[in-house]
Amino acid sequence: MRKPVWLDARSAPRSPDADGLSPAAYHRGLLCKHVEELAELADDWDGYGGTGPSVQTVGNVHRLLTELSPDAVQRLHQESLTPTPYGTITLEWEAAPDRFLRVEMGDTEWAYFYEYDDEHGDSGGNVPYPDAGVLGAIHELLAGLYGFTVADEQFYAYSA
Amino acid sequence: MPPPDRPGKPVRSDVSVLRLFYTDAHFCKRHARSLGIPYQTYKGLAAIYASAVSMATRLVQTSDSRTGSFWVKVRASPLDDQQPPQEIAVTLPVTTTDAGLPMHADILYSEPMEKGKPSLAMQKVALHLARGAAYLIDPDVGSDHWNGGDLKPTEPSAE
Repeated sequence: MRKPVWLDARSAPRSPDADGLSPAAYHRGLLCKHVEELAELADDWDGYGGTGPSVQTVGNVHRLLTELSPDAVQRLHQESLTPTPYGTITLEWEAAPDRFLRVEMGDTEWAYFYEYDDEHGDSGGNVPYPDAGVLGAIHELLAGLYGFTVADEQFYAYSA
Repeated sequence: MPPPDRPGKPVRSDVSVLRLFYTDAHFCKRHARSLGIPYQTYKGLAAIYASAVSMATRLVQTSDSRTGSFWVKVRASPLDDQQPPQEIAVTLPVTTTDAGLPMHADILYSEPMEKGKPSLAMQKVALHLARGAAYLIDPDVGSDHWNGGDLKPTEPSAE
């Protein structure tokens, strides 16, 4: 069920080609387009009284996608970016059934939890968005899940 | 930035389910297919033990004391107006010949989710329920019979 929606310039719909031609940039564009479509979900979109994500929530996810490293973005599948019935959006990276990171974005706050073999943890509750510490923790968790390295300069660039 | 105004009805805190032991897979399929939820298409059935739902509360509260009073449980809610809602553990004298949906039940959450606000407790419960459920794709949607295999959920464990 769709409703008309007006997004601000930060999260305006754009072509996947708008970011350039690298595979990571193209994939980032596809994810952004998918997120923007979620903003069109009207009340009762799931036929069970669900509410759609607000423009703020969509804008937050859009911004997060631009701040995540190319390695992190390329491992996020479009179907792993899903709306909840209460208007938040979840982003899930799953390297294996017992090795995953799930991030939940809301209007003004975000949170995450993860499982890594026998280890598990979370953000300690909801945290105001944006938060450089949480972003850095997410990058480190993803690096551990998938085995890629996060260069210091890259980490600081993304968490600044 | 302040949170946006989120008017409208609160988010629901119940999910309708059918009790397989009080009916059969063929009825469950026909009922699910008949719901006609806008923009949704019937594809198959999922099954989960009621005890797995009850266990979700304990697991989440054990692993995270901040979840506080958050809980999720199953309540028998026969829709024939002959029986008041009761805990699923109570044996109800319902039969498939009763009018309405005597095999109906609800998975209930302690409170509706706050719109636009993340909930670690809900996310962890949802993960536990998804892991405990068996989802089977219906190979023959048009048939009135369920031919998708045994609706046997994953045995609940304390993990």
